[in-house]
Amino acid sequence: MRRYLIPIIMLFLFTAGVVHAQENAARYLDTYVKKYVGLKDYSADVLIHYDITALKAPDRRAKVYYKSPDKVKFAAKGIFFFPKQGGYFNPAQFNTDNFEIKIIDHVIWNDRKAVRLQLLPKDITKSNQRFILTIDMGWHLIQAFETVTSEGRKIKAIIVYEKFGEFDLPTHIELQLEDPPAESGETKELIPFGQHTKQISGKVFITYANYKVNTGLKDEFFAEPNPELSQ
Amino acid sequence: MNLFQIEVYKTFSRWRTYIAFGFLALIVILTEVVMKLSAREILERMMRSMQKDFLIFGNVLNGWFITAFIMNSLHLHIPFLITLVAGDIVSSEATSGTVRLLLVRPPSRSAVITAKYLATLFYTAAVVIFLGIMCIMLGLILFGSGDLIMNYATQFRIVFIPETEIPLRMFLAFTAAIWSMAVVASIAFLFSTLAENSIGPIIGTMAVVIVFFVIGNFPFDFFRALTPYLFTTHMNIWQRFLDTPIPWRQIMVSAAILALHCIVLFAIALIVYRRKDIKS
Amino acid sequence: MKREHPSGAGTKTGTHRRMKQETVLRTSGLGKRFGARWAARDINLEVHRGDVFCFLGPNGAGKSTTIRMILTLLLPTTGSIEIFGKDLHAERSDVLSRVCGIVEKPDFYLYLTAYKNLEIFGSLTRRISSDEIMEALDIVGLKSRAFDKVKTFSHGMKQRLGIAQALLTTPEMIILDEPTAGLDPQGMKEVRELITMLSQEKGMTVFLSTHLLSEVELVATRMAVINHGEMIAQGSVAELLEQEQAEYSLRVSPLKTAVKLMNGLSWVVLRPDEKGATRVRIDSGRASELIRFLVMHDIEVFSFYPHRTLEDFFLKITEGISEI
Repeated sequence: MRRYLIPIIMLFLFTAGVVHAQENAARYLDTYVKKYVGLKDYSADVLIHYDITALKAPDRRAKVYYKSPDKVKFAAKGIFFFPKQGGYFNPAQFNTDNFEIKIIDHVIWNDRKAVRLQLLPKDITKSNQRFILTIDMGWHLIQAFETVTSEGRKIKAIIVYEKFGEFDLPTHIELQLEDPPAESGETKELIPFGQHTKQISGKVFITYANYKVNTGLKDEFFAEPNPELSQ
Repeated sequence: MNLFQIEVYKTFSRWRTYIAFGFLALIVILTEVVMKLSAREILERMMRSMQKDFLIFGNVLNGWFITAFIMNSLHLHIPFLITLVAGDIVSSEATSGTVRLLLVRPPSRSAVITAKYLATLFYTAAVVIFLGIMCIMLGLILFGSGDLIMNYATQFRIVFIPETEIPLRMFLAFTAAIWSMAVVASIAFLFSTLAENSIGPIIGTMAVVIVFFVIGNFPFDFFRALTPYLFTTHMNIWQRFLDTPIPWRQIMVSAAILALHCIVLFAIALIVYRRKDIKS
Repeated sequence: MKREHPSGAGTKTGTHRRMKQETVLRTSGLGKRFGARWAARDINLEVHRGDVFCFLGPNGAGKSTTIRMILTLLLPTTGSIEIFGKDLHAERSDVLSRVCGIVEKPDFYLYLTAYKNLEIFGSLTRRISSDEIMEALDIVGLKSRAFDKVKTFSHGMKQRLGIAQALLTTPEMIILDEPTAGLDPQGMKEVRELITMLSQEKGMTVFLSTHLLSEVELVATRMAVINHGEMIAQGSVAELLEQEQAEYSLRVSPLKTAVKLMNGLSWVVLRPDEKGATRVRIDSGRASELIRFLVMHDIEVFSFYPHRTLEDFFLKITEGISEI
């Protein structure tokens, strides 16, 4: 019995350490999420500047509408390209219950202490994607995040905030898109429309202004789908 | 009626002139109806790469896009339609015997051939403009208006042109298309001055266009050196006006090369016709 | 051997008239070579104002080639052309505005109406009014078909339409190449009447080529003959025919004696004709001398009449049998 006691104690301590580490990582994210519990909805003017080789587009203006936890709508005149990942602010996106969270390391970000967390979705249908968040330990704000898909597509975002009422909301988001080289197995269709699937790399600069927070946007407003091609 | 008016009148008095217009109308209507029915599939194919990273809002498949799409095949069907008239405008006078009445009149042969050439260019412009009007009008009715997304298939690139800029750019694009088709018309016209029937010029012109296209696509150094000077290389000059920024220098170079082709071809036709013995 | 009526010969009145006549068409050394072959060579034509000038020659002689050179459809290899005293190539526009030419059959734009065709061709020379067009169509009997497409016209109607377009611009000279080709006798008659009318009523100079001698006999005032690309005769019809030796048919008795006597004359050539009658060929002007000779030798002369036809003249010179 004494022979098994030490391994049992060590196993207990190890598991407790793991659980404790997990709880610590989750705490950082929880704190961030709880900052925005009172944010029910917002709308803002958006200005997008594209710096992508494969896309020659002028700056585009739109209006974004958000309602917690996951409703978003865009209104733009004319055609409008908006980054799927990281382009708009959705604090409920990183609910700790949905992710396996691990601390990667502690870093200095803009002369402030920050922690880098890795998030893996618990939902198996979304498990092809992982997130790396850089959270300011004092302000509890996501200063940067990075998402990598299983196909190797990377999106990095750097976020700048300003205070609007009681909430810190993004005013600038700089997105960097990195696509992997073209997959060799892909076929290239010989039709005028057929696009050779190649890299889309470059940057997108998004500026938010004129926030209106908690104006009581109704669900029906979001019922009408965005005129988008696909999710 | 002056010589030019006479030639234009004669050209548009023949039913075969309207083959081109009827054919173009048919192509445009069929294409736009099919695209209307297959809109989602087309868009998803077109925007596949962009959709991985972007949400796309707005009326992408609009009348301007349809117009640009149909213009992409301009170099396939317009040359043939142009040669139907350009290849016939001089040789038909020999075939019908009217050359014997035409050339014994006071106007010099230079004046006659110049009038015919201008009428040929007029017809060429009319065909391209008709195509443009059909595409744009029907496209706007069926698909509405909006910004233009230009998809350059040969180089993975999407160009976004705001709606306010499109009318002027389209006007310039069609003008450039007329400019490029004028070379095909000039080739057919030259052949028409050399021949006594219309079949030879029509077939000859299409053969030249096809051969030049093939030469321009040969992946060998020798042919690559020739490519910049082939008129077929510059037949897509119109696309430059739907690019951002507009490559004015490239356009000027292309326009100059095409103009040089037209001038030389017409000059040869003029010299040949002035010295030609009318034996028929 | 070329034959030309000497400008000084003939009656005083004729000489005076000739000296006063304006030369509206003159070619000097005109020639055209296709490769190594000369289709026409050293053509020296002179057409006077008011002439109905026939350019006669067998098929392939060079008539069309010459006319096409005059009408600038062919570029001459050698020589020059003057019309109304002006060099054709130097002052082409001015010259051709006063000339109308129809080479072979007149062809029109079949997909256009008669009216439109005339409007087009007429306007190439000067501004033409609608009334003028209708008047020209009326003259040739096509007024009722003015707005029908030419593709519905018969050959004869097209020929008349050709004459109408020639009349339209009231040219001073009209050049026709084989104008009756392909026409039936009625059509030919109409064209001849039109030619005569153009000359006599409109005062036009008419230059036409033909291989039909009957046409020449019926309309021509002056003529030239071409064969193998070379001109071999030119002058007024009457004078050219007079130059030649004439043939006469005669009925005499006793025939054998007469034949024997005539065989002894060096200036008489006996030619039996296909009907068995006696024919003699003698120099023009010596007919009375022959009759006198026969009578003096007790030969009875029952009939003595000339066969001085254009056909004979033409066949003689084109076959090179002339004895002058």
